[in-house]
Amino acid sequence: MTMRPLPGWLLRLYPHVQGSARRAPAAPAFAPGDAVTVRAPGEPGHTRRPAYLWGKRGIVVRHHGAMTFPDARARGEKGPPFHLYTVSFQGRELWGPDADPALSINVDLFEPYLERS
Amino acid sequence: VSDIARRVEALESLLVSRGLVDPATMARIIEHYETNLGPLNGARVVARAWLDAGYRARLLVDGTRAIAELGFGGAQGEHMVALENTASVHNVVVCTLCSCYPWPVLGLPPSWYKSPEYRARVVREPRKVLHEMGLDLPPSVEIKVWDSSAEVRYLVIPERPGGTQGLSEEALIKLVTRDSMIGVGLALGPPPGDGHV
Repeated sequence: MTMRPLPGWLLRLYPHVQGSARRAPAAPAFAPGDAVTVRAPGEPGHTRRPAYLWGKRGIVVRHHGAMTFPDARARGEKGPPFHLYTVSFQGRELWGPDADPALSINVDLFEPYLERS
Repeated sequence: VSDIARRVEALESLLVSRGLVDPATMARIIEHYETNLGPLNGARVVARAWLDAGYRARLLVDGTRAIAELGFGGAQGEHMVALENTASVHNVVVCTLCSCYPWPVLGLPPSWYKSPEYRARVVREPRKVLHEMGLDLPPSVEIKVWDSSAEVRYLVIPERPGGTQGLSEEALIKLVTRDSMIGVGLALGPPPGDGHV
């Protein structure tokens, strides 16, 4: 069975049309290697900020560009896109000293969820 | 259990108890989706990565683009990242907030992937969860859990099993299980008596 590659123009368009990628309104605030802390949400409502990360410290490992912001989208607001990062947390940071020492948890988090630490 | 899950369960048991739907047929449809449409695509990506170092490198740099080279892409696969398992690092994927899953390469998620137990426990005690699922990792192997709760979808590239040097791409594809591409299993060993040297 031979697979036909998707054409380049479709690939370039796809993350923006079907996916969530959007033009970045501002430069990213963080870069891989930066230490960040996850803020607790200020208000109730839909969020992609898992509660087990609130107040926890991690390291940015990857920047994915700007994407539509689910917290605003869930409220029916247009809102600006925000930069999305993968942040890596050590098991011990999340679960205490008894946690697996060879464990990291990597989570995709939007810029408004994060502050420099 | 959510409202919609209860509603679907109630509907399903009514359809079955009134003889309108044959559970075996339903199981076959699900199996068809899982084995013919879904994970077979991911298996092609993995087998190509095992055979072609250049492809593997492109896959690790830009998963979406490299996966599209083989003709796969679409909803729930717009932002793909490939994760490579090695002798010292094991990657495993979860969506703690719901059931985010890379549909174009793996199809629909298995029910255990959506269960509150898996979602809550695999971020906390993955070594134990993997053991319960039949995968024992030595304590020296670092575990990286990926919580795909936002826009990115992950595909694990399992380690290529030993004794597979002589196998063709089509034969390698058969060794790549769905579970190995989520990170809760390993790729299968070579079939016995395959004739390779």
